Amino acid sequence: MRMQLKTILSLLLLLSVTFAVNAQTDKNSIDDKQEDSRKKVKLSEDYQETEVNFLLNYYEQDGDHSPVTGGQGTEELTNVAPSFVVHIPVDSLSSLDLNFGIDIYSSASTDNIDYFDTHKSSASGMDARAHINAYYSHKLLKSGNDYSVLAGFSQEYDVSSYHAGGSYTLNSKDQNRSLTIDGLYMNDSWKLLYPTELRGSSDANLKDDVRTTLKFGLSYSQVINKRSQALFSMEVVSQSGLLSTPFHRVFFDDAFAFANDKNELATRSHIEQLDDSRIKIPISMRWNYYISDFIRLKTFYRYYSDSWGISAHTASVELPMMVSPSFIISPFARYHTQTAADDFYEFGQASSTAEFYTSDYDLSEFDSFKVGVGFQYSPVTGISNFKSPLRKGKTAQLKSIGLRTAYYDRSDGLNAWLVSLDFAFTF
Amino acid sequence: MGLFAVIAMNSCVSVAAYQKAYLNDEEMALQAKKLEVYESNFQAYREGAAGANGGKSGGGCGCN
Repeated sequence: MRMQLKTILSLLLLLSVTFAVNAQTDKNSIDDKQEDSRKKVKLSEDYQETEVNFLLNYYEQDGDHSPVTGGQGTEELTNVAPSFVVHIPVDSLSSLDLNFGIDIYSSASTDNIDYFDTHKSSASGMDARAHINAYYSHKLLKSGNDYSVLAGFSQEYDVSSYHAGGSYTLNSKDQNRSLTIDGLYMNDSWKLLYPTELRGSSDANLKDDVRTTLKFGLSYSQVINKRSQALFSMEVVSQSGLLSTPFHRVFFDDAFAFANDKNELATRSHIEQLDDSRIKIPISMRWNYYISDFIRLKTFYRYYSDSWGISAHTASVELPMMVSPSFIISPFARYHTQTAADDFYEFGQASSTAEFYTSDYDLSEFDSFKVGVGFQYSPVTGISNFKSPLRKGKTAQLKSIGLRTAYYDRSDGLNAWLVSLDFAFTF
Repeated sequence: MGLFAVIAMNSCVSVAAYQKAYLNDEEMALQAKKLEVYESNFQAYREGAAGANGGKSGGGCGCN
């Protein structure tokens, strides 16, 4: 772990030094200056135009390893998530983005928090999560650098959360390189909801009800040539407090013989216990290549390692194709593989002497594969125009419609399907 | 990845603003699209390894 961190930091230091050296030798060409002034004029013309995206997502999944019932049992879930993203140009250099929405979900496994009292066979555990986020960004005229601040809040039945953060970006004068440092603080407060058969027992005594997350990120983007650019990034994420879920059950090896005997299982369940600190280090790279006017290549790779023993590789590729000037089809595929957390046990495998234990298959060893396609329709003149409800005498426009659908398959048997829609308006 | 980074850095050429027509194409952006947020969100829940391209941005346990 220490060696990996050292290697990662050395790589990022090398990138930073390269950036600094290159930035000092940059000279603005006449063309750059002309482009800059064009950009400024464009910004001052456009800054009053507010963009609104209405997004809608439907997600469903099924599997047979629910952690709520100790690593066996249905994981059926459906989620509908409408949200709005509003982009408001404050002036020619600043903008404010507001994002608010709601997730409405029905989950068979959360319905099984009371599994041993009133077991239900269908997904009837309903809940909703509301969230709002604000993001302000500003370009510094003198240096050409950017900074941003963000904050957000979300609320659902048993978790309320807030987060705040910011970033600073150094841009090279020719806009061919940029280096961003960012930080984020997140706080999740939990209402400790234990499995019904354990409520009031000494086993149901988790010491924390708050989870804090601190994230620092460093990213570097680089134009490679006229057709290609890349982004390298690294995050260090530190989490502490309640990192387990209060209503996740674990069954020790004494329950293995009673997998289908609810009366026996009811007396042998335990609450998931996990270490109260975790360090995560993901490093990633994006590389995009403009193959031709018809097709582009977008790639992503990530290596991940954490202090719980999980390491992972993720790679994805997307090929946006311009079927016509206003219509794009983008097939994509993604592969992920990860090792299990040290404290992961399948149903009935954990020993009572273990300090930490979980049967959450999200922390198990598996491969996953996602495949899907995106569509975007965005005619130059917009899809339709109508009277702006925000500005008198002005026309609003439905600019584009996007659709993205994907199928996800995990090697432990979980599979999911989702579809998302994006309606983009300008006012 | 480190090797790719070094090769990429060494093969970089200076590209002037007027030469960036391809790079400024919407599909060439190095950030994820708005629609992709839902995918990175569920992947952050369903995969113990999350980060760098999204992740949980606050609450929501996604417990199931």
